[in-house]
Amino acid sequence: MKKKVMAVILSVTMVISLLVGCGGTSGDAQTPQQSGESTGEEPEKEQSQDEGTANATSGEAVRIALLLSGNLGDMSFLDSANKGTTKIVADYGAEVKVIEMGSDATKYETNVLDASDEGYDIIIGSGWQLQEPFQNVAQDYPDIKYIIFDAAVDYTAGDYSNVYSISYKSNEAAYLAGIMAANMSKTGILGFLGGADGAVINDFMIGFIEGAQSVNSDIKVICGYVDDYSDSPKCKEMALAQYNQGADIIFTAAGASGIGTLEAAKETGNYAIGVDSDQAMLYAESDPAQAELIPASVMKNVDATLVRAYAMMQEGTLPWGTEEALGLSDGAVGLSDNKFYQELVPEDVKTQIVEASDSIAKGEISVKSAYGLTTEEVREIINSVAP
Amino acid sequence: MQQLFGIIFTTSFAYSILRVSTPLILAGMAAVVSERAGVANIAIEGMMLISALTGVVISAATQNCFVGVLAGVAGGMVVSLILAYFILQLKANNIMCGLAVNAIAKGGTVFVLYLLTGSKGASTALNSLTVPKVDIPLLKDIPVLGEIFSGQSILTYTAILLVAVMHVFIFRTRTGIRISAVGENEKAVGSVGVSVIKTRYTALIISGFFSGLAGVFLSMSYMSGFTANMTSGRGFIALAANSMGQNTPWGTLLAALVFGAADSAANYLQVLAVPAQFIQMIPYATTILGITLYSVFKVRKEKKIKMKMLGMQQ
Repeated sequence: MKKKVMAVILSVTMVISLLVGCGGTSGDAQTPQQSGESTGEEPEKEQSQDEGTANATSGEAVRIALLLSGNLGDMSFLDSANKGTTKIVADYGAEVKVIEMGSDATKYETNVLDASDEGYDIIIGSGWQLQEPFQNVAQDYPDIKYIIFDAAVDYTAGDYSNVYSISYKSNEAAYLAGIMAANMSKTGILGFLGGADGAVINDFMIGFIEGAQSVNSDIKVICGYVDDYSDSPKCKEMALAQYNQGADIIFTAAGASGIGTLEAAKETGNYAIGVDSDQAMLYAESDPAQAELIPASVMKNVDATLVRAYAMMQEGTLPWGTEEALGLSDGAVGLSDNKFYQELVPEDVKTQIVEASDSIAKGEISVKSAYGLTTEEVREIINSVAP
Repeated sequence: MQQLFGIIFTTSFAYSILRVSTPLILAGMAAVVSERAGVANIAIEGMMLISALTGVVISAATQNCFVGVLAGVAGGMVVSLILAYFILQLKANNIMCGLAVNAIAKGGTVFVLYLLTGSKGASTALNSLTVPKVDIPLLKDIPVLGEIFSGQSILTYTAILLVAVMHVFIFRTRTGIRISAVGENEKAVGSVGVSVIKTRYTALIISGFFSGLAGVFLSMSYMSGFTANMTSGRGFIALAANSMGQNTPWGTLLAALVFGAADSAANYLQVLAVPAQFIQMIPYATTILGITLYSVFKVRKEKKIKMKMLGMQQ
């Protein structure tokens, strides 16, 4: 009898801890309300803010739902989106509810539906994971406005006049990183490590290669894919292999795996270029020696683009029903500028980067993009720079 | 082709094989001992993750690398003790329990990481320590060999040493032989008065020890910090190495080295601009090839024995 009671108690504890454990990564959010209630474990989960500030147009605060295909705390993409909506709350007095949908993609569409039924005025969604849910839901709620970033709905598939899509020209920022790397490389060999072989990652790679070639037409770039966004040891191993083959600066676009590249840089005393967020600053306090080997990171400024979209919406100039590809000229992408960039990058290279940035913004240089390229064309580019 | 050889026949490549294989060797030993006791332990992956984080956190808190390693290993052992309680005492299904441990580890480590650092990706904010690498006197002065075998992490040497220890333990000590016997036929062992449960407890705790060491190696030697889900299936590859190595320590070591070599080759061959998908296939193709070859030899050997026995009967 005693044993049985023990067994029940233990299994209950196990189930509970399982749920709590999952909450850590996948943020159970069946419905918006539920996610609001289960905030105990994640203090920053919800940021409803009702300041009673009047909206310029309707006299009532605009209600925004920010649907994240993951959880906050990624120090990158999703945190940046959250920063953007926080700024919208501060500047415009809108009301924002952040819904972390975790990693279970099967829930996404339900979440979008729930948020639509809740009567939010604007629903913002992150990344390609939300493309389909938006496509399936948005048409049924013509009065609600939808914004999707880092992805676009297929406007030919139906009437999406209430959906605005933001995509990022990561290739433009990567181009600048390429210029920097080619200038700073002593061996004439660079490295690129991507998370997976797909257009989102290849866009970084192609921009990087083209930027490097604009400085040195003979530059070699070793390209590799980790094929995993969380296997940092494997990424480190691949980066070490690239450094061993003579590469002296590696640009890594592989999510959390990319930490491996940064560590490999430290181990071999070479440079690495980070991605998505300012990765040097992650180390600035805990490991300055590591930070000093990261001259720059290629950033996607999700926050700036969301604030921009909101401001344009208030002015009535936001092009609903279209996809906008935002690049350097809009401040949507760029190289991180911090004390390490200032210290490590030579003055003339900095000037060169600024000039290139201006030319791209003016449209004098157009950087090739991986979107629309076939696999063969991408392979051809990789082969053309292989050492 | 020449370029290929230029890449493969370098000391840095051979050096990397040992490093890549170390977590597989350690986790492989965890698989050997549990498998021998007749408990398929799929929770190695989860225990590795928990130990990896524990090691990082404790080493950052104490600023003592040795304490960090000990804490990580202890973490693995505690988890395996809990697992053993569920499987052995409460008679829960070991696969289900293993899955539960893996799920808890995957979510729980990120949850704890977030509580401690505010990041759900990596422990970069913690100033954790790494296990030092050591040069082996004399060996390090030998060309080629020295470059390959010297200067590895202490844990790599420990791993190889522990394989020898495990060999002696399993085949030469009373407890070791009992563990194997329990796996072969628990009723027979029970009938001579040996406690099956106690023996399996011992096996699972040893399994936790090795899982812990494997996890600590990942976060405190391979990498100098924890990143979410950094084991990336290594615990399962270790199970494969164990079955390829036929539940023996040396066999598993060999299988782990084969996996490690294939993995390293894949890492180095990216330079050749062969399609990435082809390169990523290498470790798996090697596995299939290895298992096939093994089965072929085994069948032939059995045939030979059968023929001999038939000959004797006539």
